Amino acid sequence: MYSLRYILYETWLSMKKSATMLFSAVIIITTALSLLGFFIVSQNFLKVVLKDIENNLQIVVFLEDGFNERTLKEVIIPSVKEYPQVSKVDYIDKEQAREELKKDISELNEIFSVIEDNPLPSSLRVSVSAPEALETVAERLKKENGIIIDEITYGGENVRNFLKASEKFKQFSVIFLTLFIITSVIVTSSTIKLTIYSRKSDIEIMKLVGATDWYVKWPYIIEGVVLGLFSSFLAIMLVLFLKNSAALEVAKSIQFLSGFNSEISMLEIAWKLLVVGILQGIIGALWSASSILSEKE
Amino acid sequence: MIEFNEVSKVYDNGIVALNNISLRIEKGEFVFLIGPSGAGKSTFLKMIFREEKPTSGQVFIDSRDITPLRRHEVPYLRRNIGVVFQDFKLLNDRTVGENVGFTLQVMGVNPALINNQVTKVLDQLGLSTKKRMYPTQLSGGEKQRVCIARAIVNNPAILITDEPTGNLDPYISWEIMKLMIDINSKGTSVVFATHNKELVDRMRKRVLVLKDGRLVKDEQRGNFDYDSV
Ligand SMILES: Nc1ncnc2c1ncn2[C@@H]1O[C@H](COP(=O)(O)OP(=O)(O)OP(=O)(O)O)[C@@H](O)[C@H]1O
Ligand SMILES: [Mg+2]
Repeated sequence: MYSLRYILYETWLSMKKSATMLFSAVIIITTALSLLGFFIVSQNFLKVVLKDIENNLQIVVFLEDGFNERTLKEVIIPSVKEYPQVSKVDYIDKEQAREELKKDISELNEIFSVIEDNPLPSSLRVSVSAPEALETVAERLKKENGIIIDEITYGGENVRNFLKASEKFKQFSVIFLTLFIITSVIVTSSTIKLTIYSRKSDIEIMKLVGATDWYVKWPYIIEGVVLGLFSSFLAIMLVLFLKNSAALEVAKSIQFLSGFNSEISMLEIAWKLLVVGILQGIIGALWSASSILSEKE
Repeated sequence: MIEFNEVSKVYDNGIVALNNISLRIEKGEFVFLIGPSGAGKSTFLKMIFREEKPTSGQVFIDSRDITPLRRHEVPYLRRNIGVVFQDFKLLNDRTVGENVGFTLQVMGVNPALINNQVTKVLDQLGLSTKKRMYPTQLSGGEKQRVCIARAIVNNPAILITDEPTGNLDPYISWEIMKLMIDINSKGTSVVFATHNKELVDRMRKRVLVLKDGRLVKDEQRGNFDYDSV
């Protein structure tokens, strides 16, 4: 069977005829796919940011002086460690608190050398595994017996707002992207429909001399795939280029994000864009090809 | 073998193109189909390779009723029937050689074999020098010969020729006639719709006369005469 060869030739003949139409379709589909690419990049970026936040999810419990240190170490800390959401508990006594402060702010050294009394409270640093758990853990800590809590602080409000915002961003993007992908399917489909219409009499002739529906259909499906393939290739290039230049800027200004560029796998983005590009091509092509070929028996 | 059993065709616009036609054409027969313009000749031929479906009645090809054929079965019927269309129906985006080889191409035949076969048939029709030309660069008579070449390239069991009204080059007509006879003598049934009186009168083959969609005469060794009926 030499059918593949013939069908590729048919595809070539068809695409030659519709070159300008295909060109504009490539631009539109590339745009849609690039947006998808940027969305994946920004999702990955958010993931890095969130991971950083989650690594630093901490409740700081400032303790009033005068508690029993032994009870704290032998009863309370082990009990807090047992909370399901708690990953780590560090006890910072007054002395450590002073050392840390000294280290952070060297100008304070002199002041501390003058002051006999240490005004800094002891504290517990409770690391929590998920931002949702901050409040629950804080509430539960308040009910622990044997310690008097002076103050509890955690970045809960901000973290939750950020999470909410990024969730909103994600939902919005998904809706937006779905519309774009649908658009690109429609663009593919109408481009191919136009090609088919411009060759309608040829298609009829082919069928009259014994071509099967599939022989006539395949070139258009391949055309859709080529369209998708080419557009995804362009989109991948565009995303790669912009991602690298944007990442440089980000790395320069935000310290903890310096590693994010290497954490985003371009390979992952490439195959996702390819799959979406090719799939939309096939769907668009099948859609137009079958709607036209079924017109007349 | 072609058999029509009470075949009628009414087009969507209400025109009755064929009116209750029953007849039988044996395997290897040569039949002329004549009648005034609009009599239904092309419609009759279209029934055979199922470009059109009968409104009522059945058409049998080799004892097989083709009326209920499914869409995907139709191409295989057509591969067994060579058709020289009244308007030629050549593909303008490919060469003469590619047009002629197209029938074999859709069947997935080896390109080298196609090339052999195409060269042979083009030779037979005196088109060797036109192989690389495009249909738009050809004269009407040449287009018709390309169409004939395409119709016979895969040695079909049935050859249908629907000649355009108004004669093409009469000398060529005789050349074509000889070729048809030759093909017919090898066992292919030929149904030839024509307006060429001289051709029909000289050949003395079976003649079917259509008038207003009716089969008004069916004569062995007939002549070109439809005014008397
Ligand atoms: N697709 C169609 N739709 C509607 N009417 C049609 C169609 N094709 C043919 N007709 C009508 O059917 C009748 C028979 O047409 P047909 O083409 O079979 O005639 P014909 O004998 O081949 O004529 P000619 O010798 O001019 O080729 C005509 O009146 C024509 O107008
Ligand atoms: Mg006709």
